[in-house]
Formats: sequence, structure tokens, C-alpha cells
Amino acid sequence: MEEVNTGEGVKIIMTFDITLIFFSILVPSLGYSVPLILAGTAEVILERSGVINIGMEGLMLVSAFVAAAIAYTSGSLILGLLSALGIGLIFAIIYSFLILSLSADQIIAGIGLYLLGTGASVLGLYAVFHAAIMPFALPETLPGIQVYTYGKISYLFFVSVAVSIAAYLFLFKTKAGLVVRAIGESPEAADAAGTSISRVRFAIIIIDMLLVSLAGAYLSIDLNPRFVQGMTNGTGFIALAMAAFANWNPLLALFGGILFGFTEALPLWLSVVIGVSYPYQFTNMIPFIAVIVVLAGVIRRVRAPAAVGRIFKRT
Amino acid sequence: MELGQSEETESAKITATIDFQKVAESIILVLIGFGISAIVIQVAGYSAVTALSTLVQSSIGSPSGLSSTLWEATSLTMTGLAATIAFRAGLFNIGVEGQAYLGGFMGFLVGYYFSFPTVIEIPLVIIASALGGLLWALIPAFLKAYRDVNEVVTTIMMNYIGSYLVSYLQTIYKSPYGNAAYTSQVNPTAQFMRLFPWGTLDTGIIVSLIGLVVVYFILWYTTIGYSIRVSGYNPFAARYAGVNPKRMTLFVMLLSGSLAGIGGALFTNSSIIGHFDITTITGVGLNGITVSLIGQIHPIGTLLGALLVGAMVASTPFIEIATGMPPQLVQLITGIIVVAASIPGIITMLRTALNRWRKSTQAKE
Repeated sequence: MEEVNTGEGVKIIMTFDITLIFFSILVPSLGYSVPLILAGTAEVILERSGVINIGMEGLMLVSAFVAAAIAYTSGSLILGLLSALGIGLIFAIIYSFLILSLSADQIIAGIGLYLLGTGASVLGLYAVFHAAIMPFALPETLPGIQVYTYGKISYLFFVSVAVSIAAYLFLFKTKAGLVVRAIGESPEAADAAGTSISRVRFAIIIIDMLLVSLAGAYLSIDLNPRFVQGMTNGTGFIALAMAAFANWNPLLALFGGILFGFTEALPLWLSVVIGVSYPYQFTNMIPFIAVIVVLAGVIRRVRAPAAVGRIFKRT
Repeated sequence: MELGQSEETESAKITATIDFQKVAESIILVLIGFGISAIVIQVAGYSAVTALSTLVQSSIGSPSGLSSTLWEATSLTMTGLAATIAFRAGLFNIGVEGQAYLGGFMGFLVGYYFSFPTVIEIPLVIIASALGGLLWALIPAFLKAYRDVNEVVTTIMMNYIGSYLVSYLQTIYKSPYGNAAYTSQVNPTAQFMRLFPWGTLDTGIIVSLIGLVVVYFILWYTTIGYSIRVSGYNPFAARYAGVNPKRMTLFVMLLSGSLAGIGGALFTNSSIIGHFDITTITGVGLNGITVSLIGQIHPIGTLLGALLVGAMVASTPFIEIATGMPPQLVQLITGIIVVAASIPGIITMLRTALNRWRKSTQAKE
């Protein structure tokens, strides 16, 4: 490898080292894909049951904060992870109460949960650490498989793949999955057939929120060793977009997670490994532009579950 | 007017009259928001009493405080109206935030390059900022109208893209003085004039109030406004009545984007700011969405919501000094209010719950 400094602040790495180029993008791509696969799969299952959750970003931030704060104060990563899942459970109960018991508007409640989550995570940061940033990083992160010197592939990556496959088998190969899909297409018909809409949706909302809070915890105690304000940086919203991209199929959400994980890993890779000296703002736009382009391209070929976002009331 | 009269019998959602139940609902929403926030603040180890008293005192307790509140409400009213007109049509334009960035930046550019007399310069600033906001609403509007792509997702993506774009552009026009991350000042003629010597309030508030009247007029005194309201209330009925949904989506999204853009310029080209800075303009659009929801998606409610959220934003630095809480406290409180606002007919619900409780206690006796 040979480094050439052109003197204009542009550093070009002269190299034909294929392994470097390959692994230096593969490992971070898989790293970024974990929260997308988890939250994207969660959103697919949720929307299949006729419920939408646009406030995932807020829950992810709170979970990320709680996981890092508890892991830091207690010294146990597992305790941090479990606390984050506890937050997911609380959010699930709040959201279910709002939309199932009170027939709240799902979009507006989602906006509210996003704002609330963003605000609460920063308030928590100030309350626990009395500062705008976590003063110390966690001494360790969750374990994974070390890939030479390029970083690690977290065990949670394999967990997220398993979750996607399990979600696919559940939705399309089991009777319970059929019930969930029926509720998402026509809650009236499912209700007439004797299914309790609220009970099924409550269960699905709990699964959804647990997966999303796992995704949040992953960000702060696995991918990074600390919580940073706004560290999700749109991950929750990209996961929301993935439901349509995946045509509401968990296996395609797995593919989408890796694809968009790649676009999220691209900015840093372009500047560090390839030496592209574009203003970072332009490379940072890549994932968001990719979402719009991909959605514009695929959307005509997909069909959403008919009852997504609609309030179901027995008449 | 004929339309207005025939509507009286229809659902309260379509009527123009001031609905006292809705006013009471808004008040309950705000009380819920502050009540739950107070508990969260106490649990987090801060003093809710200090926070609340600081909020009241610094926002309305002095002429300069009141002036700051009105100044914050100026841009929030405009971005709130942008949200209101979109929500009324059933379009969730979350992109108000990004549209405000672009509008604000266009307002800055006009003020940076041109120095016409104020009577020409200010209208130019307003037109340019409206175009900036419109441009940023264009892609989501087309994708929604012609490809049926969910506008919530695309507008949020446009917010991120817009945020990166303006944070790059502002480095090109970086102020030469000191280490400031923001742009140079605009020409003085491009800034809204200060109204009183003792505060930040400027002539931008007149623009906001004109915007309020225009939106109110469009919604309740024009055919297109009627179509907007019907589309939001029942899209199938609207289509049956001959409303072209594609054209409606485009019109509403672009109008909403333009208003949001003007809201951004009311912020950047105000008397106290006069430059573009992504860190200070952040939240102008998102708070506008909150403002609209607090105001029951009604133009006049939007104004009142803007005054409330404006007071909260204006008092944030004082609360930070008095209690040590972060500025994101506003997001926490508004988040709780928005969650409460998602519950339909909160008054009816409380009344039913109260009746049920009364009945159960009577049954026990």
C-alpha cells in the first residue's frame, strides 16, 4: 500500500488490495444493517397486522440511552440490554393503550413518541451524567466475531438474521401468522370470524417495540461504546421506509437492511479508505437519497396491507 | 358563504365556527403535557416548580420576554400554518422542517446578494423563501401524487437531505469574523424591522398574520379550500364530488412547502438574527407541526399554539440556567402534548369515563 499526498489535502491511497477494500466496507455494512434489519422486520410484522409505528426513532434513542447508562453505572452490558427491552415494553403498553383503547391517530401518536423519545433521551443524559455527552466510553461492547483488523461482526447480526427468517416463517407458514395478515387486510372479516383484533395487535406491538428497543441498545452498547445525542441519525425512519421497500416481507427486509446498512457505511468508507474528499455533508446524504430513489422505483410494484393505520372499531 | 351554511349540519370537523369543546380540548392537552412533564422532570432529579416559574416569568414576565415570545411565535405561526393546511387535506407533511431550512437559506441568499430598498427587498425575500420551501416539497409531492409513495417517509428523508445541504452551503458563505460556524450577515434592508426598541419583535409578525388570514380565507371561503377539507375528512367522498386527488395533493403540498419556506425566512431574516445558522433554525418546522396539532389543526388555534410553544422556546435558555436542564426539554413537553393530541375527542372520552365511574360508585352504594 502506498499513500500519495497530493498536497491539496487530498489523500489518495494507491492500492489494489482487494481484501482491504472488501472487508473495510463489508464489516461496517453488516454493523449498520443490524438495527435496520431488527426495526425493519419489526415494522413489517406490525404493518402486516394493520398498525404503523412512525415513532421508532424516538424509542431507539431512549433505548440506546438507557442501555448505555445502565451498562455504565452497573458495569453489566446484559443489564443494560435488559433495561432497554424494559423501555420497549413500557412504550408498547403506552402505544397499545393509545391506539387500541383510545383509538388515537397512529401517525400523530407516532410523531409525539418521536419527539418525546428524542427529548427524554437528552434529558436523561443531563440527569445521569450532568453533561451533553457521556464523559466515558463503556470499557467493552457486546461480543462478536473479529474479522482480522477490520472490526467485528456482532453476534446480534446473526440474531437479527434469525429474527427475520423466524418472522417470515411465522407470517407465511403458521396459522397464527395467517390471522395476523388477515387482521391487517380486513379487520372486520377477522373480527366476524371470531378473532380478538385488540389482543392480536397488542401482542404484535409488544414484539415490535422489543425488537426496536433491541436495535436501539445495539447502537450504544455494541456498535458504539457510548450514547451520543441523536445517534440513531434517521435509522428508525429508514427502517420505516423499508417496510414498503420489502413489500411487507421479512426476508426482503433482511435484504433491505443489508442494502441500506451498506449505504450508511458508505460515507465513512469513501472518505477513509477510498480517500474521497467531497464535503462530508454530501456523502452523508447517500442513505436518505437512496431511500427516496428506491421507493420511487419499487412502490408501484408493491401493495400495502389494506388496513394499515386505520382505526378499527366494532360497530 | 352558502357552502359555509350548508356545512353547519355536517360534522364539527368541517365547520368554521369556533368550537368551544375544541378550545377546551386544547387546554386539556396542554395541561396533560405539562402535568406529565412535571412528573418526568421531578423523577429526573430537577425542580419542576423552578422550571415552570422560570418559564412563566421569562416568557411573559417582562416586556423583553414577551417580545421574545412573540418573536418566536412569528416563524412558528407560519410553519404551523404550513402543517395545518397539509393536515387538513389529510397529508402528513413532516417535511415542514426541511422546507423551512431551504426557505430560510433562500431568504439569506437574497439578503446577501441584493440590497434594494426594503419595500422591494422584503417581498423578494418572501418570494424566494417560498420558492425554496416549494422546491423542497416538490419531490415528495410528485411521488405522493403520481406514485403513491407515503409522504411521511419521503418528507422525513428530505429533512435529513436538506439539513446536510444547508449545513454545507452555509460553510460557503461563512462569516469572516471569528470562528463562527454560521454565515455572514444579510444586507440590513433584507431584515424585518424591529417594532419596539425594548425587544426582538419585528415586522415579520405582520407577514405571519397576513399568512393566517390568507390560509383561513382559502380554507373556508374558496372552493379549493372546501375540497381540501373534504379530502382530509373523507377522500372517497371528495373523489366522488369531483375533486382530482392528484392535483389536490400537488397543490396542497406545494402551498404547504411555500408557507414553511416563508416561516424559515421569518426566522433567518428577522431583526435579531440576519444570518443563516442550521443549529439555531433546527426545530422551527417540527415545532410548527406541534403548534398545528395543539391548535386542533385550525388557523386561529395554530396562532394560539404558536404563542404557547413560542413561550416555551423563548424561555429555554433561562430554564437551562435556572435548573441545568437541556434545551431538548421543549421536545419532551411538546412530544407529550402531541401524544395527547392524537387521542380523538378527549373531552367526550373523559366525560364517558366520568359517567361510568359515577355509575359504578352509585351501584356500590
